[in-house]
Amino acid sequence: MHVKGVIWTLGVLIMLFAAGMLLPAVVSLYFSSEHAEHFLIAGSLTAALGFFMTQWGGGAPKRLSHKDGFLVVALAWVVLSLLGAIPFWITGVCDTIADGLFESTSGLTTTGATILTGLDHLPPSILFWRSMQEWLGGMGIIVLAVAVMPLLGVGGMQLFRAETPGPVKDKLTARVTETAKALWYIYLAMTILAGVALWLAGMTPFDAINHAMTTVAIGGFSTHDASMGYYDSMWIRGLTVIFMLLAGINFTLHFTAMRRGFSIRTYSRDDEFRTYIKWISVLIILIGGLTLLTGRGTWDEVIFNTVAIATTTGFAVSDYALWPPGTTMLLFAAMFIGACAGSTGGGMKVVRVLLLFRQGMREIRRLIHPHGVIHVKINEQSITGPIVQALWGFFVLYIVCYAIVAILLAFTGVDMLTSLTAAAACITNTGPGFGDVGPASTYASLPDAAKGVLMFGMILGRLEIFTFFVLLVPEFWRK
Amino acid sequence: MNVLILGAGEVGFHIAQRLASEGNNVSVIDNNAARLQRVADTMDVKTVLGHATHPSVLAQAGADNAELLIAATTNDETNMLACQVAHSLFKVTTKMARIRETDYVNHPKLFGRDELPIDLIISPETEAAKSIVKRFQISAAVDAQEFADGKVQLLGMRIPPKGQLAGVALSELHEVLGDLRTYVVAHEHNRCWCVPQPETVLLSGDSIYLAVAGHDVDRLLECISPPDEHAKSPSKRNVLIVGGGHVGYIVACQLEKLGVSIKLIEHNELRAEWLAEHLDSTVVIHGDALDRQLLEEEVIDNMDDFLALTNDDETNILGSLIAKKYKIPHIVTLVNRAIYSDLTREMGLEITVSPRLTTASAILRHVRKGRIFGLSSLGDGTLEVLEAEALKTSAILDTPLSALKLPENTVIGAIIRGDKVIIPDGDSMVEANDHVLLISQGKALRDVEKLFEVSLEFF
Repeated sequence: MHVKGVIWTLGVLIMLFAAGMLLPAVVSLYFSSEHAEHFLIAGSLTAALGFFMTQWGGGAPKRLSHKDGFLVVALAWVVLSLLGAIPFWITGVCDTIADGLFESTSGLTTTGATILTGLDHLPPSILFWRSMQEWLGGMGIIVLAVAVMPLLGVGGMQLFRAETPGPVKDKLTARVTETAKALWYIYLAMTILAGVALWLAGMTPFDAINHAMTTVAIGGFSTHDASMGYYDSMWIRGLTVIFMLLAGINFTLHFTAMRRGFSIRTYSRDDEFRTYIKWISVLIILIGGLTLLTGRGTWDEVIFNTVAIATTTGFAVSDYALWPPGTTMLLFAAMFIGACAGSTGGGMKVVRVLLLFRQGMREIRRLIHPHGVIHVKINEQSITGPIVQALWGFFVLYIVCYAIVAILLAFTGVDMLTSLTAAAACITNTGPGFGDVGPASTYASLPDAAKGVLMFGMILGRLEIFTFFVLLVPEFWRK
Repeated sequence: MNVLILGAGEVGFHIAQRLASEGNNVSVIDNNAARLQRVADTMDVKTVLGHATHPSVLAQAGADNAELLIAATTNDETNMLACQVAHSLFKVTTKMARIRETDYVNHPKLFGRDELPIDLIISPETEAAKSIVKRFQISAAVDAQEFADGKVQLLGMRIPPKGQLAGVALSELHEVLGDLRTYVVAHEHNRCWCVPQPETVLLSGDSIYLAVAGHDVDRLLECISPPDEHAKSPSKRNVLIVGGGHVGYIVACQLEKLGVSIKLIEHNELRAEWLAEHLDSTVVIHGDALDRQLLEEEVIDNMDDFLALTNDDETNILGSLIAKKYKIPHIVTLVNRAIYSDLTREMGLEITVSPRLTTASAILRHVRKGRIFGLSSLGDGTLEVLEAEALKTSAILDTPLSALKLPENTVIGAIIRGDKVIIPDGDSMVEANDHVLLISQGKALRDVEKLFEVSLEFF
């Protein structure tokens, strides 16, 4: 373990984050509204801390081991969530320490669960800071750091591996810095495209920027209490659906397709993409059928809400908690499956579920052919034993973590429906759940202890369990 | 001709034997002394021990004077490099290489005078696989051979007891087949192959070879197959492949494309894993193909096709016999050793494929480039197929075939004129520059060669 190296790297990340904190001050000055000074103070404090840590760390580490990678990433997410809460505290938007932390963590992990109401009346700087946090957390601030800080080059792959979601981590280019850059370019391009599109569709420029950032990050923060329901425009809703779907696709796949000149075939031949599209289509048809039959919603509401939940974004155009029980149960299940690996979305990821399913089918086929040699394949490539085992490990831990979070929630006095769904909404980084935390309400009513448990769940979900859990094993700390 | 053969494996051995017996100066290079010794003991060739790509070894084998190099080692890269060395250092005129990896073969740009200087790529396994798949698609036929790039096919088949052909004399054949043009070029009765006469009557159990234009094959099979046999389209058939070697793998790949449901038994565990990884819908089973329990576990009696394609002739033959016992309708046996080829017919295994023979004939065809080419054999080998070009000076031009005096036991099965195929009748005539497909008994071969060359002497 290279303690000083870890501290230096964290310092660099904190300084990068501080730079992001100064942007809301600019926004505030532009709109000549309040809180510019608060963001300046928060940014300076954070930058000072980062600077101090880099000094203490004494320069870029020669090398980072894979253990250091885990440590940096896990600590970074905790520390940045903490620092991100400073603006919420000093501006007085959040009354309690817990509320501020919750809002910050929810933003950074792209969960999109909020404790704030009256968004429409909040100053633009605060709204922008919420979106900014989601955007930084979407592709991952560490991936950003790897992209822009060549100094991190050596240990970059360790960090990159620990932060990006998915069972198999591809290096797209020979150098990890280039890979990180490519991912961020795509991310940035998609955000700009979304912003321009939403603006053309009729949003104010400020709203367009905010929604572009939270859509492409698959976050779900809005600048209005009514979320997307505020906009009664087919164009805005339709575009948001498209960008949610796009951001839910593996960015590696976007990259490969782009390099082949935006080839549709690259997409249509990818097993995960096909499953993702099929799964969401089936959901829309089932949920749409049930909802329309009972006359509680319209097609456009069904499509928007289903995509928002299935990609784990968490926007809403109407209160889908009022839809028939069958649909809410399907949406609950959709959260767990989530988006594609390597996207900005959460959940267990389509590819994992697909692989687990194929693994299950394999066991059945092995009963029919006792001597058969049957491989689990994805994109015509065999998935080897260790990866499948890691999948099962992940699956079990994910469900156990979910259960623990839900049980702890119930211990804090939250009712059963709320516990079960809030735990799912946070660990899958979706945002709204059902019951007291449904799309029409916020997390504000939960006790502080419950918020603490949920924050833990969000970070656990964003870092896909292992990166965080590895720190809890005594063996990790043994020399 | 001075010939260099690299590699004394099955393919190299066979080619060396054929070329040496035809009076060529053959040198064989191999890095295995025991294999070389076997070559030296069997035939009159020069043997050189050493690595086939090393210039010194090639020089020692007489590469300086060689006109033909056949690189037939089991290693693709060795073969390609050897051709390059022979080209750059020794200026060997013609170079042939055995290349198994389809990834190389799929890139024709790789080969050429300025690229990899290989004139002919030989791939025994691919050739064998091709002919197996071909026979799979036309399962009523026992044998199918292509000539003139597939424009003409010779289909070997057995007259089924209830089919339309049983009891028909050849002169009445057109009444059964209507306007479908075919020509029966070979006939077997009581294990005796001969060129049939118009009055020959087809009996059930006899075997025949029919010449037919490539595009008429499907129609012909539809006409003559008993109704129940062509009821199953490929996608509904169950195929059991035994042996997942190179041939087995290629066959499985191609059958997968036809939508056939395939089970493949492979005894080597590592290979089975590899196959499972690279094949898509095929069920790969690790085990012994002669294990009765395993076969019944995989419901062998439900299979429509049994393809025995291991590297081991004995396993293939025994496996096929077991399959026959389970009454699998269509069995293909891969047999490499010549001695077994004769045996399998006795055992009732009708369809055999021999990669070694196929390859050797592909190479020989290329070597014998001239006025007469395209040599292969039918039935038990007593009948030969020749493809000959009719020169302007040839004696057979412009005479109706019925009036033409061909050597005994010789027929013209098809005339290829440009892109057109003519299945001849008595009035057809051969024109200059036509290619003629002749079927002849071994003894008459020399006379046939004369028929196409003799006229030259008049000038």
